[in-house]
Amino acid sequence: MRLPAAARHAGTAAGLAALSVLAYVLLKNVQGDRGQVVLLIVVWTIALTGLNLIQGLGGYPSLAHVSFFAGGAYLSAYLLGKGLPMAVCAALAVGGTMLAGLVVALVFSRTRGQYFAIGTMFFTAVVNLVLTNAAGVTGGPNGRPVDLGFSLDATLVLLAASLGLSLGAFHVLARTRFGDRLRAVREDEDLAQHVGVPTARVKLVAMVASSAFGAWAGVLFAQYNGVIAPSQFTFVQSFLMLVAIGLGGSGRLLAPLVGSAIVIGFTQLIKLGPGISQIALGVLFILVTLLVPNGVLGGITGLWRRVRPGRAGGPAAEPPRVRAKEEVAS
Amino acid sequence: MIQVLVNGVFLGCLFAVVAVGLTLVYGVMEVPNFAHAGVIVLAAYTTWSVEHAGAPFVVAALAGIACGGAVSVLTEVLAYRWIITKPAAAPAVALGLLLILQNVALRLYGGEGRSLDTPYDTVLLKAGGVSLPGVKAALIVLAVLSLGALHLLLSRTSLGRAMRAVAQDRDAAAMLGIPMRRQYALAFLIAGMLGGVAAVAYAPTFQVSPYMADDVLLSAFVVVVLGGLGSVWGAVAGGLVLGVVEGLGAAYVSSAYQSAFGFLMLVLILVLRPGGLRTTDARRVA
Amino acid sequence: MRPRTLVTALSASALLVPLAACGSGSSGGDGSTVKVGAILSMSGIYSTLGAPQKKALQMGVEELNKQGFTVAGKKHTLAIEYADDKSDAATTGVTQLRELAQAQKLPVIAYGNGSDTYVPQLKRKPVAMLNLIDSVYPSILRLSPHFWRVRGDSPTYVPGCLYYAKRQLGVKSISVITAKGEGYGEGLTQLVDQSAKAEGVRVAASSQFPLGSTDYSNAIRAAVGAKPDAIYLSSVTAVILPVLKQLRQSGYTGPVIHSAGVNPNQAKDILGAQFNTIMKDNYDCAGTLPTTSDNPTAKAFAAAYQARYNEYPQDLTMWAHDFPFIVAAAMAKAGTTADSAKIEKALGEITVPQGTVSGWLPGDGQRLFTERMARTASEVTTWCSTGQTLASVMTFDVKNGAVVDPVLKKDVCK
Repeated sequence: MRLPAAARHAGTAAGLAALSVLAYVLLKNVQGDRGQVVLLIVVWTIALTGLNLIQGLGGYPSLAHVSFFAGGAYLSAYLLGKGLPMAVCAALAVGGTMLAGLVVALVFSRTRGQYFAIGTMFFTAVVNLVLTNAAGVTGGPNGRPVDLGFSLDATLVLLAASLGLSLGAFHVLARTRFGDRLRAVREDEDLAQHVGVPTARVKLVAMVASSAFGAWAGVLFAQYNGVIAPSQFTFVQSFLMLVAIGLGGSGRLLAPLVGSAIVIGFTQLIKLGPGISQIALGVLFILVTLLVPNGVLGGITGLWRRVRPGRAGGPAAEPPRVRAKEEVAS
Repeated sequence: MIQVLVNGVFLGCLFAVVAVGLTLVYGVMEVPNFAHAGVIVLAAYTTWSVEHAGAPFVVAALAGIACGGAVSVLTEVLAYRWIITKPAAAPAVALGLLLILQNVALRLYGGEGRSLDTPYDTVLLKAGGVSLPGVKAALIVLAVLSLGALHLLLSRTSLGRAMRAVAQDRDAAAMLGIPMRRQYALAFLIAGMLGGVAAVAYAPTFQVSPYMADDVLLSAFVVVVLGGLGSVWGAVAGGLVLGVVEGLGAAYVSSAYQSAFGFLMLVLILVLRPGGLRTTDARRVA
Repeated sequence: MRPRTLVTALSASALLVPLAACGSGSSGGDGSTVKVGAILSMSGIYSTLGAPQKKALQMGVEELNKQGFTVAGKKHTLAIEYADDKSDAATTGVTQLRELAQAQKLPVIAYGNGSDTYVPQLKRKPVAMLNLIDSVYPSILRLSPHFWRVRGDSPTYVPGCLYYAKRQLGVKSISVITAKGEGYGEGLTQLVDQSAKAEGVRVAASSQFPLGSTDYSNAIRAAVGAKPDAIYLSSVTAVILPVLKQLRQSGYTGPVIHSAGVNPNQAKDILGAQFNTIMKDNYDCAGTLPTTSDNPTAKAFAAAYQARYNEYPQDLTMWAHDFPFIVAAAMAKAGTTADSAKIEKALGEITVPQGTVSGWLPGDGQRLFTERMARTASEVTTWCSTGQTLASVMTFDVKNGAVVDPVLKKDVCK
């Protein structure tokens, strides 16, 4: 049952638009603790859509992502404090963070795999150190209030719209040649380089693009929360972002949403006493890494293919590359 | 100035003990063992609770070191062993373990800092214009003793030789009939016990808390990269260099950014010698 | 991409739906029990403050509810909804504020730290917030008209440190060690500088360590190296006690002064077995302690607290104990249990309520709050090694930055 391309993309677009509407309704009507859960899931989904490019498609486990999130939040707050109009602040915050993303990419894209993880983790640790200690600009360890540039309603509309639009952007990017090249880097970087993929440039672009998503999410988070602090941008947060993508299913369109829902749900909703939810999350993540390497969405897809007769599909552990090709071809 | 250098040596010894544990594990298994910080935390809490229950400090310290070894081996048996063929999953699993261990400590002991008492709390060594508190001197002594013991183990025993063989070439070592699983467990045991030594020596200068080892771990990773991944003596030398650099930076630039000086060194290495970081280049023990 | 993406998208959004189901809160006011909120640091670095506050609040509520209170002819009792900010106002505290003020619509909220971080949220949804502890300089009251403080601020007690140090300890020079990035400590350091100048005490050295660091040797070396007659530690209990420990380990034996409100239980917990020797020659200037007070109601409260929780009551326990009485008085005056704005206005008009134990010093017209601040007398305490506890050596008040009405006590440790 294959539909023509236009119809299939229209279906996706309608789905994402419905998601945005639903997000708005929830953001508007759910308050207090539960409102915070909805907010964080929406904000993280926007931010993680960027991480899904570099980590999901490119296979580079970036622990710098929370720093980009922080960059958007802190830069916009700082510029607002200087009296600039909100739209300018937002644009400068995202642009400035993308520049930082470029520098990070230039330094760390020379490294691979584990070293990339260690290096970007260090970057996040140092960014957090600066946020904590440069108190004149950042407000120090206890954080700083953020001037309200958008009204609450505008913030909610932007959050909800950005959710659908970010996912839509990922959907499109993943289908371009750029997406293919990123997947090639993930599969075998040396081979990709050998057959003419400009791996350095591809990684650079992916990193800078991912930082833009993170920064924009940071701008919106700061506007909603009204206060930002270093404790919101630690390397543990960065790790949880990595976990969310892994749990959701690296490189899959809805991985940021499903992953954030699981991670945020665990840390915010399940009140098993201090520490327990984090322990459960750690165990769950290790189990998923060991048993379902393609994440929850990958696992579901695998099951779907098994139970659906008349269609030759691989098991859950089918190499992602094969599916990637097939998706692009179909 | 000499006082600052002495302080740097103290930091360096701490980094070296932690980094050697990391590099050993890296050498035989290619795992960046972020969970090592959790091992240190649990060892410190064990020492604290045994001492709190009334046992003498030496007994408590030995219990802490034993706990470090045991927890470390557990992480290998329960998690790392299963990803030996998937090195790409290693950082994620290691961070997952760190999350688990730290929160187990948080769950068992709460978030408040605990003070670890030692018999040498009130000792103060003085020579010339330089003074060194007993707790810091004890860390330097413990570091030298434990690293000396490790050197003897690696160079003089068949176990140590087997471990070096594994680190040099895992496949060849397996073909030669070296029992690999035992080697993995042994590497984690030694690393964990070194973590325990670090915990026992380091905790009395501050407090025992679930996040006490985070900064040390980050610096220790710089040391591991600095000294060459998998190289024990590289880690010792790297530890001392980084300790002195951070000590100088903290004293003369800004103590708030102490660990950032380590990061600057890391970036410099990455920019100047990116090739030197490749996995295949520097896998050796001793 | 297949049509099932749409299905997955919808089923993923179904994950979010249950969250909405139980979001509606109850509003206090209609029944006989009135609910107000309290956001306290019950865990984390400030738990030395939040945990005892909660205990004292519980005692105050029970005490108030024995009689109840009358608003517009109807009898009420009070209940407090407690929330833990985990010593992280910006992340956890502001969420709790949204929960209590926006979702549960509580009219009054007691809180501890993080005033500046609550300001944007207060602009969206104003609510009366009574601070039980934060005496930081410059004052939190300048941040928002909805902040009230149920205690005197740092300028009402820091001058006493220098006054006492100069006259009773013979201190001519002092070094200050500050927790950088910790607002309370940074404010204290400014005030110590000002008071030292006023008293003619020389500041020999002023050094800092970053909040959250574990090795204070650089800051300690700078402070001790200037050979001061005394050292002042600027910050709260959980931050300064580890510094004090390393300071004593480094060989410094002179007097140590601070304004952290360390109690004996905390000293033992944080400093370990050596606490009695480490605390020797230690002076704390802050609010009056209920235990050392001459006021019989404060003494009775101190005894009841000690008996109930087996814990030494700090100054802040009295203030927390009185919070329910202050809220009840304001509600009675305003004639409403739900309208936050009216209750807030009434706060500025009430006199010292019946049942309070802190020994409040009323202002003009016997009003409890003067410019949104209620205050008690201040005190310098010292550590007594023989009894392993605190004793009051001087009580005082401060007017225009200078110590007035000092009452010195002799041989307090006997």
